[in-house]
Amino acid sequence: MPREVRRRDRLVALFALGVALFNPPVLWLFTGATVFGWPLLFVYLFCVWGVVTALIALTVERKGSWSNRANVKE
Amino acid sequence: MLASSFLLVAAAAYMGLLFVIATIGDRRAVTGRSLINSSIVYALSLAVYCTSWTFFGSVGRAATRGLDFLPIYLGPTLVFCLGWAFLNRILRVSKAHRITSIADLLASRFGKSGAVAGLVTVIAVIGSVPYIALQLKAVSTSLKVLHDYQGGLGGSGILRDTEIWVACVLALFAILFGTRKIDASERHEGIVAAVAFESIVKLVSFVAVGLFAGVVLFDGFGDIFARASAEPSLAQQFKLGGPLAGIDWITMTFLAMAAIVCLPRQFQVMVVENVDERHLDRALWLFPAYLLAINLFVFPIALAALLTVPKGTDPDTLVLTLPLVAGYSGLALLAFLGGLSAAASMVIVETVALSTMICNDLVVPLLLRCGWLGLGTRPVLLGIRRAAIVIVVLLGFTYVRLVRETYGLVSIGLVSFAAVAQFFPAIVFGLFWRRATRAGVLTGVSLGFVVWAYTLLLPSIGSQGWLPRELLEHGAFGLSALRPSALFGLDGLDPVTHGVFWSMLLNITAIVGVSLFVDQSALERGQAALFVDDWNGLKRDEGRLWRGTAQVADLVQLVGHFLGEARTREAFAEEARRRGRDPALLAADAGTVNLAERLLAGAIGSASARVLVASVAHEEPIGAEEVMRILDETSQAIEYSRRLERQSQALEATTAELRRANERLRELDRLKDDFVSTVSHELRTPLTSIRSFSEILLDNPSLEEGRRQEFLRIVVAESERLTRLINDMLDVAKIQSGSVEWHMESVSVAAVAREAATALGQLFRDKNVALMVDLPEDISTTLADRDRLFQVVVNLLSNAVKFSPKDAGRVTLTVVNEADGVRLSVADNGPGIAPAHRDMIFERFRQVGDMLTAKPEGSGLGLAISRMIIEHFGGRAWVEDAPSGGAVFNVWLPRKRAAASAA
Repeated sequence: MPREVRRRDRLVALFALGVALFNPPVLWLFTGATVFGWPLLFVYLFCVWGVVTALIALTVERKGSWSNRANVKE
Repeated sequence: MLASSFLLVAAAAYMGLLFVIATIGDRRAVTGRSLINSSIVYALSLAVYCTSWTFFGSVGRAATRGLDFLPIYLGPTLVFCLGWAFLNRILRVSKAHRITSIADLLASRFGKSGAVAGLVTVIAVIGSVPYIALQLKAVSTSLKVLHDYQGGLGGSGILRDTEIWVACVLALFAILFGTRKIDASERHEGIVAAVAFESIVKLVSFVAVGLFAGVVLFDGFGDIFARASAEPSLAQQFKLGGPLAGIDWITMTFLAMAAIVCLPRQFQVMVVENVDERHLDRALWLFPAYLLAINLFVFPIALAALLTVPKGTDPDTLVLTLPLVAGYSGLALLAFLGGLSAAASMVIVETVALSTMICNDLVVPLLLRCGWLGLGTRPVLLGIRRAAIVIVVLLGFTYVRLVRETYGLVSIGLVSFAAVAQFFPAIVFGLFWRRATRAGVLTGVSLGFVVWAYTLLLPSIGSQGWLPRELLEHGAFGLSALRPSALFGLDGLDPVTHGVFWSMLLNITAIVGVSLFVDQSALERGQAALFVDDWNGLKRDEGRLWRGTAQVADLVQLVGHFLGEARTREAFAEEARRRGRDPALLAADAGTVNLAERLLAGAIGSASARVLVASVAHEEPIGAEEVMRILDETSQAIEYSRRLERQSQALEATTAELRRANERLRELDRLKDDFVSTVSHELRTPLTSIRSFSEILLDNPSLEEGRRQEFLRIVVAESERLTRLINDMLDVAKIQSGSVEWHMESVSVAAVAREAATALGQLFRDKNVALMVDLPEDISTTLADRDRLFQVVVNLLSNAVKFSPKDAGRVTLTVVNEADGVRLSVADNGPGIAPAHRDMIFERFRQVGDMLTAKPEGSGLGLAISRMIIEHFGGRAWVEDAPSGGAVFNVWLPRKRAAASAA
């Protein structure tokens, strides 16, 4: 499988994971408590958000862009 | 602290700066040194997503409902994870088909349908008006807050009517930079540059307010959270509520995911204004990072403001009142400019996008239908777009004036989101499901829109008291099942969640349901294949079936109306070059007509372009039967060519066979010549000796008795040899011509062998050669002609005697049973036969040995005849080395089968 296809599929998987992590019922696990005085839900959401963004960056910034792919059928 | 005149000057100066940036952006675009050709600028322009809703509304929402402002930004982050799988595809398809708006995308996918384009445009406009109103209202409110807070210079008429001024300036901006030219690419670099700049201002000013709250007003963000958690009413907002709040959260995530793709302005900046596809790559993480950064301080600002600002302040103005209360009017001004940026960029891009849609998908089709679109079209198109911008902004302004503020900024925005989300299923199905049909999309989107209008738009207008209260409280026709806020009795949900649920349910059900039951037209099917199967979007509809009569001059003139003569000629010349033809000789074929359509699509949308080109090209519709006929002809042609191929293969095989046969014939001819010469030679030898001896006898009557006797013996012997030779040759000829009568019967090979051995006993004794016979009792029988088989055995035995040394010769005759036959071997201890000659000796007249010195007795046909006989019986004859030296002649005959005996 071309490496861009593999990277695209990883991003799709990241999407699915993100849908689960950014929505109830997972969110209910983090509601109410605080960590070092900060609201846990707030800390959790922004941490996951940061990680997801970083993972997208790590995936797309590698050599080889999806746009440069030849017209190959998957 | 802030004089209203100073405020106005600051706002005007800021707008002036934007005009300058936009002008530079446009100038640079003309000279080819694009200001926006960068992935960072692209990502910043995508941040047009963050409007005054984000800037003011999020804080307001966070102040009242806690963290549930966040799904609106988490949704886009998730969609950007699908950048390569989904967004890139939209980008490619849109570029390949010169798509200029979301309405155009759906119209083009569903058979270049004018109805789809119009419907999408109407929904987009209706859905966007409250959203634009929200921006105008936010700007005027923020101006008022800044002004009022200082105790008011009061009575300034200009500030009382701020919305109209804001609306005017923004409309002017959109007109100046959004409708400068009609271009096939529909790009506005100046606007994008200004929007990117505004995104920086938004982010900087908001982060400034956030840091101010955390660092100056409070002792770090921990301090804000600590103090907020001490207040029970604020601590409540650290939590996410129960199941209902969870459903709202999920709904908002979905809405935001749909909106980032479907909002007209997002489509404009993401797809239409995209300079280079590769910019999307970096934007895939830069844009989520931007969203994260601008949202990081929303919650702390909201909490800080709630802790600081007097109760009862409008939550949507907290970003401004927080610095004002603390006495930092400069920061408040910066915040105001940030909010202004957010509002301005949204209004400008949205109106430009909507004006394109209104012009291309509503007005032009109407004009086309009425036949009012003539010469001098370009100014007309620009005029339409300018008017559309003014109308859209005015609608927004009217909405602000007429609809009293009952909803927060976010709620108004969410209603807009829900409207454009009606396109989302159509886009997803359109790109990934080939069988999604025009009828399905028209039904689904219309139904979704109607439900949206009934459950979300109606209550927001109805609350103004223009509609009978009974309708809202008891439902249409007094049916409680039709209450707008609790359709079919679904009560207790948030209005947005409720509306989104019902509209999406009907929308998706209708698209899928109708698509499954209604057939696509030929054009629709073609477009569907282009959008769905060609996932790279690189193919254009060049292979489309097209038939009609067109003149290139007509096409050039038509496109020239919209794009300008020079540009059009250039585009056609380019096409001719691409095809390697002289521009003057470019034929008006399907490719050229498609080029014209594509060029026009960039200016007026695919649906209108199709209608226009059809008017010039006199396209004859191709019906289903005709397509089937073409398909039939094609498959027939394929079948013919396949058959032809098969026949040519057969022909080749036959030719090869013939060639082989010919070679065989020549070989036979050569053999016949050889045979004839050999036969004449063989016949001549005995004849010559007979003649010469007879002449001696005739000429010398006085020859002594002993010599005469000897000569006569020679004559008799040679005559016998001649007779034998002629007999053998007759035998060969008879066997070869098939005129021999074969008396096939069940024969015991052993018995025949014994008989032959007995018959030749005297021969062996004469030469004093020992004959060993090994014939077991249980030898199988075989099917043969007894006399002929006897002849073969005798031939083999006499040969053996002939070549065995006198007195010391030993010949062994053996018959053994084999797997499916009987083998008879005759072994001698003579000189043997060299391997090279073993096949030859079975040919006619081939005798091994020195022909000159020792002429062996015999015709030289015996082995040839034997082999013919044995082969006639279905057996084989061959020779091999004997273990004791000498040769072993073998004959193998098949065992007689039961079936053969029965026959």
